[in-house]
Amino acid sequence: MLKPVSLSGGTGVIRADTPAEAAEVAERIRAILVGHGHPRDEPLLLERFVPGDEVALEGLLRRGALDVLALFDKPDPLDGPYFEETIYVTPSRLPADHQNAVVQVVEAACSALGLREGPIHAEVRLARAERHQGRDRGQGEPVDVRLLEVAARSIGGLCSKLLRFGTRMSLEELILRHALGLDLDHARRSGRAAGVMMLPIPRSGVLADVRGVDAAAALEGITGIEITATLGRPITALPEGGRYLGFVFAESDTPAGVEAALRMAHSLLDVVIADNAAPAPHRPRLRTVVEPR
Amino acid sequence: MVRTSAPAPTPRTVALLLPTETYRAAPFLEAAASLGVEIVVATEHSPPLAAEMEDRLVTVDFERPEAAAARIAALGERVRIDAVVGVDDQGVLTAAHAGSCSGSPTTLPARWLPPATRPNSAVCSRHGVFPSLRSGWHRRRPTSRGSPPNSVFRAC
Repeated sequence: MLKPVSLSGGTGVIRADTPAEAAEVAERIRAILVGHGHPRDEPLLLERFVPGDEVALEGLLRRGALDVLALFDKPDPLDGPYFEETIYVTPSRLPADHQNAVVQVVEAACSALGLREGPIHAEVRLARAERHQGRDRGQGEPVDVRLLEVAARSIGGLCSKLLRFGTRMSLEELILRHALGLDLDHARRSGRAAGVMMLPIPRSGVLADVRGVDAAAALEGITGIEITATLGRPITALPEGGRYLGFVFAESDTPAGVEAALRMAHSLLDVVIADNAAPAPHRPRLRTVVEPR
Repeated sequence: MVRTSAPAPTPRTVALLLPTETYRAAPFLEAAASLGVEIVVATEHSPPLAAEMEDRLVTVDFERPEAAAARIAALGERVRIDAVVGVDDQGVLTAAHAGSCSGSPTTLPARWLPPATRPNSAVCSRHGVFPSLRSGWHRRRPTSRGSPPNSVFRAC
């Protein structure tokens, strides 16, 4: 795995399977860095690829103690060569002992790094032995938790919209409360199972249209769709790109219901991308069709 | 009998470090409004109404976190700032610089800053900024609005 140290959201994160591939990938990442206004010669991270399920932990550190705000499953396989974030669903469907193992690894990482106050967003993989590949995880099954990264910030994009705490407090309100030393007694996620899909950009070009938004928004469980890319403007796919097409939000009684709703909504969206930047008539930016509850 | 009401408490102020392309400006501004918290924004480019925002906006270069923190600190000389919050990756180092000098809790501790730029309490004290944790960035000495930011805070 080769990664730039200064970009985020999967931009410039590429898997290489041989040393020769790695050299080519490094050159590509350097070009990506320049395209994003960063120095070409900045350090790159080189890591061993860890096959397995990935989860994201949203947390808040207070005097060195980690409050777990949400643990998200990422049900889409992330095997590369590029690593596009798509679906996040909480609560996690991992067995309780595996969730605990994830929390322990993130806590240990924060402690080792000296992180003590404020929001963190961690990415973790649960590597599994070959004999367990392809099977659902079970309580008590051995698990090998590998930390991918801890970011000293909260979750990105519009994903925080699906998190509500106590009496509907937003994640941002929680962060501001913490920064100001205000009461945080209600820092427990409330509500049903929830999820978000960061809509992938299928290919680079000019965004001509996004069809099917109304139909997708009308699906049971879908609580909001926001297309954040602008019609008539260039969009860039990973690994060069650093933006999302938009976001779909869902709630349900179960995480499986959330995931199903998100996948169905995505299947109804028809993203029309033109090949070149021909002058496009002015069109207003699409707005949120349904506000997340 | 004349009744006098207690003076309204001074609203707290948070400096939000908002990269230009962040998705998260609106949720943070909504949260601040909900809490009755005032916001000053540090961002990379001036928005069209920057002139109207005066002491509520400072333009910074998040690629130069030390200098960015200095500009925020200079603003903190003119307006009360109670906390610094870095919103996305781009602002994390700047928040660490600014927060470490102010004592404001930021996630990334000073030990992760390059050694040559770590906050130095003696320097902070000499420049008269950031007296205590969560007590706000209070004006320590009169400053003219035209003072260059780095004249009040540098290399912290």
